[in-house]
Amino acid sequence: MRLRRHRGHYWQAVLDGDRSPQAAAHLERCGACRTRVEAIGEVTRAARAQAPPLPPGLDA
Amino acid sequence: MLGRIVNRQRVDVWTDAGHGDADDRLVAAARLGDPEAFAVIYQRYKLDVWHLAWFTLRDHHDAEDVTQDTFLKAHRALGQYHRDGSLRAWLLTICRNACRDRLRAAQRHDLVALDEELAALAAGGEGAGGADRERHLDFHRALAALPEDEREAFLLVDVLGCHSDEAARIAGVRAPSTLRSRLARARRALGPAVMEPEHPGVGTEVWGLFHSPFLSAMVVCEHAARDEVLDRRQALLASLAARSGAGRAAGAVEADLVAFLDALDRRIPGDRPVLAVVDERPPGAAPWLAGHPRWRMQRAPTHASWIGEVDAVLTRSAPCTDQERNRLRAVLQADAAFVWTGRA
Repeated sequence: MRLRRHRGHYWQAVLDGDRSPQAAAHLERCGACRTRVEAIGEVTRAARAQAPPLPPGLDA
Repeated sequence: MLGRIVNRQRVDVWTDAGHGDADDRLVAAARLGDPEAFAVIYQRYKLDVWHLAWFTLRDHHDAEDVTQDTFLKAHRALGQYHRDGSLRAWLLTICRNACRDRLRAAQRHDLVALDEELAALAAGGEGAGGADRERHLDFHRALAALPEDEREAFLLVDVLGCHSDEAARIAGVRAPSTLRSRLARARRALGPAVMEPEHPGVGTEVWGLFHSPFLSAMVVCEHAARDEVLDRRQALLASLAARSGAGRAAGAVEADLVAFLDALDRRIPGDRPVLAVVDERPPGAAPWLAGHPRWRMQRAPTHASWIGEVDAVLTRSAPCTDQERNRLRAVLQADAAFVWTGRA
């Protein structure tokens, strides 16, 4: 059994833009991090979907 | 004036992907009075500024005014722009301050505007379908319920795509770690608004807790009698008070977990289905689960921490005082092992 410490996860780092091979490898094998990243991605998409388009007055 | 500044077509010479040096060249040209350079800056960052203004103020008219004000102020203050930060961060800082000034001046409370928006959405104003509209409303409520600093962190990083260091500068936070803490809290709070519910069923009662620096598990079972619940709550509190804090080596954790499951399997009456909520699914427990068909094991919901899930189940089944809850969280957040199997 491979054991990990609670604080050894990468999901926050990945969400903060960490694209290092180390982070990618961790994400590949860690279901917990993967699902958290997907969940926050869902939140972000929901927020962005609600952003209105630029009003005509600003769309110069 | 703004129209004169920005009402131009993009200029080819400035259309390379705009960051860093390219932005600095644009600012330098704009400082020398090149209106086309500022027009490119506007084209490049107007959407970011508009989104920050709209999400902060949630009013089209005010957000439009603030967006225009931001670029007017930026145009006047180009001489104050320093190369040590990004141009986008500088513009968003101006926008953020303008939003705060406007909110302060009007003594407006965000929730007033939001209530109007929610009412419009509930009436089908934006034409969203049933489930989507509910989800939209849930998300708006969750966003509005966030403390201002957490909402700002979420908007800057997750919606606008700022790096947390950049977001900290925009928000005027000295330590980026503070901004990241706010962001983490916002993400945890907003997650449930867009996720399918994954909680154990209502009425579940905690029968056992297993915590180690490497793996944690909570065992819950449904339909316990009220007296049993109260007895177990007392036993848990007594166990917390008597905790020795002794740790265990990593290699012993899996065996400890199986012993913990065995102890509970003997205690829980045989006809009740049992659920173990874990923060990691231990592969070594699979043989044990295969031999105990009434048991299921699932990870804590993706939007919540394991400790948060323990808290939620205890709150539903046997409410604790704040002091008791704090003691429980302190024990479960420590790196030492803690095992409770329904007895003190």
